[in-house]
Amino acid sequence: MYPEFISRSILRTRRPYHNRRRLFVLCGTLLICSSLHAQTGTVVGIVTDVETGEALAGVNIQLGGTVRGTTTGVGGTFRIVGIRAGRYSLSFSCVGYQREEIADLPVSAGDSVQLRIPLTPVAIQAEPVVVIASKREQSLQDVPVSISIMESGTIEDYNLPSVEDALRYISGVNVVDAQVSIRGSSGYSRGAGSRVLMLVDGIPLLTADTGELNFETIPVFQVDRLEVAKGAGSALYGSNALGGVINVITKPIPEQPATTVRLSGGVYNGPSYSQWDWGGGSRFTDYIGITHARTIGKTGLSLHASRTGDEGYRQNDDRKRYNGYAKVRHDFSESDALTATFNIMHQSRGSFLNWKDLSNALVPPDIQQGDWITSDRFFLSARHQHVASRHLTFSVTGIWYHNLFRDNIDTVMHRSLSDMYRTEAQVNWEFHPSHILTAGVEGNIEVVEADLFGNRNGQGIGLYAQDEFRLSDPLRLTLGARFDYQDLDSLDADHQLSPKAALVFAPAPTTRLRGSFGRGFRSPSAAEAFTTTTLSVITIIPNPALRSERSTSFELGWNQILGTAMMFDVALFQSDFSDLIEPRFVSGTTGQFINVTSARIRGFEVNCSVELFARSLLFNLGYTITDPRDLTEDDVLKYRHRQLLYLGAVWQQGIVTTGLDFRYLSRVERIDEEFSIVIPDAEVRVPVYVVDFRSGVTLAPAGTPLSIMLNIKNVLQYNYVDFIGNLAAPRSYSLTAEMTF
Amino acid sequence: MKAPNTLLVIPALLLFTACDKGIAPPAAAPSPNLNGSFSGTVTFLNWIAADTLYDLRLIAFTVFPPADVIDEVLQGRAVVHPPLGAGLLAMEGADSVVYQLQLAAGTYPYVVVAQQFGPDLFADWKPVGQYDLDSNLTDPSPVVITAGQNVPGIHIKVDFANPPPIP
Repeated sequence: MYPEFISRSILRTRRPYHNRRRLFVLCGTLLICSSLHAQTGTVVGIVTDVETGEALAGVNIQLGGTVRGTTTGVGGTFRIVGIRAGRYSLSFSCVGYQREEIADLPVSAGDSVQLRIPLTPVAIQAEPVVVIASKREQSLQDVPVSISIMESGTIEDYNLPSVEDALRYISGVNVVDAQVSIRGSSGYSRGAGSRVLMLVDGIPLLTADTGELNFETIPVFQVDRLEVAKGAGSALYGSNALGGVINVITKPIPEQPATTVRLSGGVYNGPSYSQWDWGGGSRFTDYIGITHARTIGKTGLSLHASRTGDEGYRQNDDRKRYNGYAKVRHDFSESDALTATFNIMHQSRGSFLNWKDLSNALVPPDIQQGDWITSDRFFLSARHQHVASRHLTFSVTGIWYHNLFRDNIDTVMHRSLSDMYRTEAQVNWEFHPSHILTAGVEGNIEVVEADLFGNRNGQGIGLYAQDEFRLSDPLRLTLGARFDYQDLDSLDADHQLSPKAALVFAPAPTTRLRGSFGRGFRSPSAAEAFTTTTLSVITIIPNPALRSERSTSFELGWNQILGTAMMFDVALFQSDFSDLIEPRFVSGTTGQFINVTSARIRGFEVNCSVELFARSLLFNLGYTITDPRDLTEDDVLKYRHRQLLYLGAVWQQGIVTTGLDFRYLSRVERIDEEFSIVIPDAEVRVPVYVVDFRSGVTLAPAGTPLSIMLNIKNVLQYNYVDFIGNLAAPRSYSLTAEMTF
Repeated sequence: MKAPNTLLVIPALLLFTACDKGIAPPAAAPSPNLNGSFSGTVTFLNWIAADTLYDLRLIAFTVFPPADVIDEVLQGRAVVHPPLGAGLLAMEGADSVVYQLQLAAGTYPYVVVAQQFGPDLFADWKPVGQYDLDSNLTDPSPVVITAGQNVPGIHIKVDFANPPPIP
């Protein structure tokens, strides 16, 4: 239950919080109590562990056939008010526990239905609900592709400063300078374009100008869980879902008021060698964040503000960030709900492109001294959900994503202003007991005003449909396709039909065999097609003939649960890419994004989780080996690690949790050698070995809602480059306190 | 997987990785090849427009006439000051700059200040000043470096409006 359950498994660092107070509620499941309201009814209750009787926090509760739902609080209690009289189903799901459902729950006007729900632990056989695979909630066991999940508890325990850092702990995933590579899908392009699509609560979030994932916009401690789908996903999600999809799901708004304050302070260790000491002294990090959430009547509200500071372990690499976040949900009725989210971020930081040389690895070249970047970003999104019946659901979403960044790199002032507008209408219809249809239409408009990329406009539309068909009890087939049309300014308009087929076979309750095929594509971003700039002595020129890149993915997988304490998942995969867009030196140090390469990435991934000593000791392993081939050059693809290994162990005893994590990435075999001309010692790179340690204590069982955590990252002070001419952070220490009241 | 075996995995990896500290800076001792130096002052006249000043370097060639700048550097037949990727030799508009260039003992028949005037690092270079003790610009003066010695007084005049000929 902790780190990485890998494909179809969960990265979790601790069990759900158990309130050790014994409940005196009788074991009867359902009690009808006194009336509270005249027109509507209420459902209240508590969810417990059936074996220990301990209360369970964070259990997801959904009132069937409606938009209503909630999660249990710290004491395991929940409350859903204002339910129109009728008969409902009520489901309870929590990682590590068997899902429970009350099929026919009567709710009468003016009555309060009081429940005690005992959940049965299922050890390794977790049954979390995911939405990323089919744009609807389904059990992870039923998903036909490799999916990894990281829960909020893990993000908090690791004290991760951003979603980007969280992704580094997921098997098969590597992150370089905010560029995510899933199973080797991406190389290195300084943030221009992304072969992985990121969603926030199911809504795509890519910048209109650079087409990049901007993780800093998302306040990481508002994340409830991360879902990562590996392999091409354009059949549902369209452009950019070439290598995979990340879905960031924000925390639900609780019924009961809650305020959380989080404070963190940290310091970097000094450099390993005196030659690298640039005279910066001790370098500190800090974080302060406050969140308040409550529900008043039919309206829920969550507000968050935070400040993140980092003096940086390198010269001219300091940053300050301010995040604001608001989420409002209003239930118009049992069948209609509107959720709106507003997110704003301001960041100012120094710019560290590359080191001066290996002797001065923490100092930028003289010409980069004093360079800075500021960015102001916000997004406003809204989703209206209508539940027509238990079998038919509609939703309409929209987002406006605004970005402004300025810099003075190479003493020239740059400014880029961009806006992305997206809207989507979707239907989920179980039109037959064996068929679930998911279909929708999506549109996007991009507006860019930038001296780097020019003034550019783009638009696109996508239509998709998929049917999940239960052929027999153990066999499920999914067939689907999406058509996309994208038109970016003066580039030739492009279209793509992305089919998908997948099969899940369950020969035994603890065994799943799966196979899937999917196509992916990505249309170029304005940054890749139209950039005109000079970085140090490298000049980038536009390419108005740039075309979309495409991929085809296959996967075969086997998921097996052994006994009650071990699970493994094995996947064989292959992705074929054509017209890959990569930056290349086309003349001297003049670079351009061009369609250069056909590539094939084949590989094998295994994930394993073991629980020992009554679930107090948890191990996780994730190992990915790939053969990334550049078919055009008949050589290894540049900027790829062939092997990625993640190992984690966590020990939980009483109120204390201690964990150790190990990451290994094999040495990148190929880079653009031309960098050696302009970046001294650019060729220097080694395998990556990183060990992180953490230990925390929660005083909640003693009645004090306080948690304290110590994190030591890169314990062994291992020196490696994240990317060309960029030495990764040395050992760092941080201490965090979090209080919820 | 048996628990004792599992428990040994991470400590074993820690021991393994603890032996390797990864990247290290190069040895602090200077390269034995850089056993000499020369120094002087570069003076500037008639600065050109900033949009044609992509780069400005002092270069000492071991051959004359040289091929293009970057090829000679990559072949080890030229030494560049400051190194490529670092800041320019002088700030735009400066009257003069004092320098000292470390290099291997030997004869350098062509010492020149070169301007990169276009985006192509390989092709877009031209001389804008050279070390010369006489008025015959087609025959630059050599600089002879002795091991362990600095040769002072290697002054170069850069007149962007009247550059020396391309050899």
